[in-house]
Formats: sequence, C-alpha cells, structure tokens
Amino acid sequence: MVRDVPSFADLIGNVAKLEETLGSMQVSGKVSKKADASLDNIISFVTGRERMWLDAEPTEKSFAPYHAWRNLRLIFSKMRIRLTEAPTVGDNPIVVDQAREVVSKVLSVLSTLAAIESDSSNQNSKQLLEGVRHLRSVSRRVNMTASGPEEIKEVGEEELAKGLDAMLMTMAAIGQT
Amino acid sequence: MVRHKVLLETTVLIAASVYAARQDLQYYKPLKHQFFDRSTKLIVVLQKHVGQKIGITTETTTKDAYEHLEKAIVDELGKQISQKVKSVAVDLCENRLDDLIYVFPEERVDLTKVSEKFGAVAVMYRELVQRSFLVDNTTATAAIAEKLERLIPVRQRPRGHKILRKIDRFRDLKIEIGTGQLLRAKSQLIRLRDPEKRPDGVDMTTLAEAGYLHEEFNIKEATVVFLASTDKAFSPNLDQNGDVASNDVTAEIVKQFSVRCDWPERIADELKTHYG
Repeated sequence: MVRDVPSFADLIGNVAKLEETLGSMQVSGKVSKKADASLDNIISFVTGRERMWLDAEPTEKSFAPYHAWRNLRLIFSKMRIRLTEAPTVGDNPIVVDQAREVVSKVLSVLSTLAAIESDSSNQNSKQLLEGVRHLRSVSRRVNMTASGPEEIKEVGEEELAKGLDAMLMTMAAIGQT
Repeated sequence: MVRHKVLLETTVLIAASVYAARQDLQYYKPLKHQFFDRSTKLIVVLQKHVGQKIGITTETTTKDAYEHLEKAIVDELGKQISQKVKSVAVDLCENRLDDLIYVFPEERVDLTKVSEKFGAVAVMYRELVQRSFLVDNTTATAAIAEKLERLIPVRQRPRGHKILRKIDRFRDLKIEIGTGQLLRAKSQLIRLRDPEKRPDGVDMTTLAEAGYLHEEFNIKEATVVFLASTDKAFSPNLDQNGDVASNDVTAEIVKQFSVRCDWPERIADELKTHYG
C-alpha cells in the first residue's frame, strides 16, 4: 500500500485541529490525550521537512527554511511532552493556555514557509527569520521550546564551540580596525 | 545629582551575546579577548545597578542586533560548519540577546523627532567626511613646518653654518615626527575617508535616537547620555594604554548632540566612580 505524502494543506489542517482541540480543553479546564494525534502528525511532517532542507545544498537561502523547520520541531515536541506530563506535574490547565499562545504565532511562520517552498525565487528569508525569532521568543517565555543544554545536545559541542570561536575572532578582528 | 543612561549599540549587544553563549559551553575554556572583555565589563556594571535603569536599548538597536547576529552566523561560519550547528548557534546567541534586552528594555522614541535629528546627524557626517579629505600628508607636513617656522625662522638665519645645518636636519626630522603625530591625532577623522567605515543608516538612526533621548531625559532631570559602541565612527581611537589617541568625530558628536560615545569598558569605569 502506498502511503500518501502529507502536504502543506495537511499540516495546516493538523495545526487547525490542534488549535480546536486546545480550545475545547481550555473550556473544560482539563488536559486530555485528544491533541496527541494532531501533534504526532505535525511533528512527523515538520521533521521530514527539516531533514529535506538539511540535505539540501547549504546556501544562504536554504538556512532560513531549515532553521524554521528545526525550531518548529523543537517547539511542537516540547508541547507534546508538556501536554503529556501535565496531569502528573500539575501543569494543568496552564499548559493549554501557553500552547494556544504558541500555536497562534505558528501560522504566520508556516505561511512564509509555504511561500518560500512554492517559489524558489522567493526572497522572504529575512521575514522568515524574523517570524521564527518572534515565535521562539514567545515559546521560550512559556517554556515551550528546547532549553539551551537540550539544544547543545543536538550537535557536537566541539563543532559548536569552534564555530562560535571562529565568529568571535572575526568580530574581534573587525572591532580592531 | 546627575543621572546616567547608557544606550547599548548593536556591536556591544552582539559581542556580549555571542561571548555569553560561548561561555555556556564546556568545551575548553572560552576564548579570552580584550574585545569581549570590554563589552562584558559594561554589562556586569549595568546589571549590578539594574534598579537604577542605567542601561537601555531602542527598537532600532535590538532589531539591528538580531539581524546582524543571524547574518554573521550564516555568513561568517561558512560551508565547513553544518546548517544544524549554525541553527543551534543562532538559537543560543539569540537566547542570550533576549536576556539582555529583557534586562535593558527598549526606550520608546518619537519617530518624528528622531527623524529631524537624523537629518542633523547626516549633515554632520557629510561635513566630517569633507573635513577628513583636507587632512593628508601634505597638509599635515605644511602645518607642522609652519609651526616650526614660527619657532625657528629659516629666513632670519645665515646659510651654510655647521650648527645651522644641524638645526635644519633636526627641523626636517621634527617635521617628519610632527606629521606622523598629527595624522595619528586625526586618525578617527581620516578613517571616514573609507566609505565602508562610515556609519550606515542604522548607525545614524541610533545616534539620532541617542540625541533625542538626551533631550527627553534632560527635560525631567540632568542626565548624561552615553552611547556604548565599539564602532570607531562613534567611539574615539585609543592608544595601546587605552587612552584617547584621536577623537575629532566623538568630540563633534558631543558638541552637536550632547551624546558621549565611548568604548564600553571606559563607560564602565566612569559609572563605577559614580555608583560603585
């Protein structure tokens, strides 16, 4: 059996369904497992796109979409964990309010991503990075994205340190002139 | 009592954020460099006195800092660093930048008044650039020669005498040394000849905002406004001992906008004398 490849429309549909489920949780004041399926679908789609952009030729233009998909994966994964753990850690029902706040900011990032993916000449990288920054800022404020140490674990610390050192040296050299 | 406000310019925000992100890593010791110690020293002093709200930012400086940070990571790290590492680096550095902006919040500015100041800033730099082209080796040599001529007039001395020949050689040497000293003293101004080293639109907006904020703060109470920057289009050129070597541009900014542009560590030292 050939499984249909999920489309952008499927993703938007899942995000809309997640938003609706979170809304009903907010009304009832209880966190349930109803959002799990939507979140799993979203995470699966987002992870696939992240891999696709990671495998693409690393260019200035490919960085913004990759960075966006990667951060969406981190945010939705954290959301999934927090919703699952909410009943046991006493995070109920504040986690639902926080998840809704984050989801409301996701759509603008997705629409910019859709524009970039449908038109390779699209020059919206700057707008996309700005959207991701805003989304991350909101997510971080409500603990709905990976912490610094969790992010560091995703890559080799050595490569990260060398990258930052290279950048620091360049900045210092520019600062001396 | 005079209050103090320090507007943190893009270069300081980025340097402090990247350095702090690097310090979070356990891999070897963080890189030590005077350039980063400078920014960190000021941030530490401002955080110590956070209740007095000395450190400030504006929307212009923070937006510019985020954009330059992302661009620096993507452009500077090159193809040898993977996209994943770049993405993590952006996140970690931006987390630190977020933290700084949380502590030093954005001051609101009146865009109309800032835009008026921007015009004045642009005119000032245009005149400074024009002035920078007047200072070259020939004019500097002529200026020094004229100064020496007043001390040891050539025409009044008989030619050919042995001692006088020595004086002439001394005079030539003195002109050479004096020319070098004069050019060094004007180096901040001369730097503006290079179009790449002139302030861009965002830099000039930042200075215009600092000038505007100086006026606003001083309506309520006497306030000294600093612009903390590692950009020599604002801050003076320093010698190896950290003393001012050249400050024509910085002095003109004080004269026209009452804003004191300086290196972060020098501002930190001055704040310590007032706040401990």
